[in-house]
Amino acid sequence: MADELDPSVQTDAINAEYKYPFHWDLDFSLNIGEDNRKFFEGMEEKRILGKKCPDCGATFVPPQAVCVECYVETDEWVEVEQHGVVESYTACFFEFEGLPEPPYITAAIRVADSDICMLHFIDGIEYEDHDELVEKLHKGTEVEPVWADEREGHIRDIKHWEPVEK
Amino acid sequence: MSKVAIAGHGTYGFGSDTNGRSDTEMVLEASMAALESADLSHEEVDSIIYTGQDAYDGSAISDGQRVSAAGGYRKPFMRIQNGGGAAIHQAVSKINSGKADVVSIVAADSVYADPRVLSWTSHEALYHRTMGQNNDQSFGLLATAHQQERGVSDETLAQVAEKNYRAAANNDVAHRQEAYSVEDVLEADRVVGPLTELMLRPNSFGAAVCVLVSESFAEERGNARSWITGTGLATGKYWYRDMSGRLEQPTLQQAASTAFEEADVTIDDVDAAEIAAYSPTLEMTSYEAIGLCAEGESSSLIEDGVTAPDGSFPVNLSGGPLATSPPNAGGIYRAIAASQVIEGDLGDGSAERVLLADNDMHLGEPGRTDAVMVLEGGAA
Repeated sequence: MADELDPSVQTDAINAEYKYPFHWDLDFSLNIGEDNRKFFEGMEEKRILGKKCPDCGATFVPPQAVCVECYVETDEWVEVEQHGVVESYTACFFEFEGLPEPPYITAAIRVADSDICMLHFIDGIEYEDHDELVEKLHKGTEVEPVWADEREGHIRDIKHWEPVEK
Repeated sequence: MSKVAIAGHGTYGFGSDTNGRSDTEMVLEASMAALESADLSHEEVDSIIYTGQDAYDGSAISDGQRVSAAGGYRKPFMRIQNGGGAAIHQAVSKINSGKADVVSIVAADSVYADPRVLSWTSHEALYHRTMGQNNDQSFGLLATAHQQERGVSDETLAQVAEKNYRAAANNDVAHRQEAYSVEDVLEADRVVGPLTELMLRPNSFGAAVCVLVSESFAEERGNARSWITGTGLATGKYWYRDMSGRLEQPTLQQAASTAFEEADVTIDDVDAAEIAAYSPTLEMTSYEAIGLCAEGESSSLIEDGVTAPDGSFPVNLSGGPLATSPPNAGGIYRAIAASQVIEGDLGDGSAERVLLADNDMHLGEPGRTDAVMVLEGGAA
């Protein structure tokens, strides 16, 4: 095998004198809307809220403004059980700005009886390598949220989810 | 539909750098090569389609900077961000609607930015970016689901990569041209879930240009290299709630079905394929989506060598995206490679009909558009 895999070119690494580094320095501000605002207000109070479709009855956590199957506006808020099921997960082995030190686990979690999944971190699992992690975490693993002590109306008000002790 | 011919094509690269060239220089070289191979002058081009993501170019309305090099000055010039396959689909539609006889499709990659961060910016801001979701994370989630739902081993995933690298070793424009072994793939640095660095695409630099002409124009000029006889396009939202559904790749199924119907063929009439698969999981589940095998049976195709370069249905004789993956130019390059399989420049020259399956998943899979084409041989 080659000593070194093909590296992606770095603007300051190869022929630096012929390259012109630049960056976009733009601040964006997103209007989060009423549904997300209400969801995050619930998070601040350690409550998990969802919305239901008036036609098919599907529940969406996090809340969705529209049921894509029925194409009608969701209109009923529900507080759901603080219990999730892992649909899939992946362990990340590379560093990414603002995120935990690798390896860390990101999972698609179905909260209560939600029709959709929420992405979040899984922690509280001891493992030495990927094979050991695969033995301990599965599609269908039941998880519960671990709340941050200081909450500010943000998805990270839940620090992470961890397997339910049985 | 009337068939449309691929009359010419040209590339610059591909590699881990532009070899000192600017995007304009690469587009110019690839465009001139494409026109020469089609035996056309730039005056004969009616319209140009540029395909690429502004974020990858680091500038808004990035097509405007490449008009002249593409031979598009004073000609209709449009930009499509759904990938090269979608651009070819639109070029075919444009020709079949009578709006043009000759369309050149152009793409280039010359600007470096961290692809994981670019992918991250393409994801939803409130719930997904906060979790660091990006293309590699997306492919990792899917790979874990693939292994747990279908029992696919790390070794099988590595075999998919190995047979792509074996093909790329015979492709002198591939970015990765080393024939990495299964052991090399498994022992490379682990990136996400079961995926190692050699199970994920490189970020390639270069340019690709493909010239399409109408049936009547090709017959008059005798410059058809291959024919596009069927096209399909499908878009869907790929939900994290439904990993099983993601593994089925419904938009690929739908686009392939439309293309087969238009070409009046089935998968049994097809001899080879070039598929935009950015991880082994995506390549294997693509076999199932296009009907090459039943759901969950793609492992046996790999183990039996059916889709290997010397197999009965070779997939990615170019080496595929694991060997060469320019974010903007990938789809155009895949179309060129599919035509080269028909022309006999890739593979053993026996393929009479090739499937091209492209999509815009280079940035991950928050949403997805698939474009499928059926290419056939036959002189004009």
